[in-house]
Amino acid sequence: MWTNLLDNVCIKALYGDKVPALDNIDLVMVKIHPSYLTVQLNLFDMPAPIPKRWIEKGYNACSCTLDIYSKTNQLTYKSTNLNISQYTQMSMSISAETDGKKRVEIRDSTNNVFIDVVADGIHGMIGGINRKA
Amino acid sequence: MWSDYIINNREIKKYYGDRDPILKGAACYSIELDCQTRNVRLGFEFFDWPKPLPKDWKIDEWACVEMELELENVHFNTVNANHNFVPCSVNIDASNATISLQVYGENNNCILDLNAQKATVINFGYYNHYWD
Repeated sequence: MWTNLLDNVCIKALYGDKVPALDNIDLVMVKIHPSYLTVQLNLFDMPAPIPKRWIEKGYNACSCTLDIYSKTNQLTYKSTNLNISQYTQMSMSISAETDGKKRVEIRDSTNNVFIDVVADGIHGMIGGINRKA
Repeated sequence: MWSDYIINNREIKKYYGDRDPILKGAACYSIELDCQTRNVRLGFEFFDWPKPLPKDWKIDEWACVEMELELENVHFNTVNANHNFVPCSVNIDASNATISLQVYGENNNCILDLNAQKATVINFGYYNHYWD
């Protein structure tokens, strides 16, 4: 489960064992730096049960921010191709390397690599949003 | 001069007159892509101070000049974040039609090379890193 690879339990605490899928995400913002990569994305798998406060506010999607960082001030960017046609219907994979580092790969809807990066850790935050159809 | 073709260049013109700020030995603190507008924000810090220093700039010994640009209709030729962004050298060429911007890091490695159709200054002024 990709939520087990995060430093903090925020997302895991919300979703439990029902891990949100990363094969249909919308990217909102990407911030590139040698020592960190911040990715803000929308997820469409809602937690179960949906928090009462989210229901009251009519939230229908989740806004997730991942801070992907290096402890040595240098991430390893294996690929960076920002010239893609659309930032919706993208997919992301988060995996553990044999040396304990974390690899994050984001692809566009035609499976072209957008960003592929190896990091020391990932910190994740999540909240509900009201996404217009 | 590249600053002639940048929107909202009032502060640059006010402080630097008939020259562009020199962006050699600068720092590029991030490349931010807004996936909804597709605009790109680039933040730079540099040390080519306006002469004379504006009287209302209360700078400390760690201060720098900060400039944030928002670029529209961007095409990336190179993005290579495997090099430190500090120090870097920034080259901007501009005309009515195109803004061409490159950032070179250590050993002249190209970190960023892009073309944009429009560039706007969204932040310009001094920045004190350790102001208290």
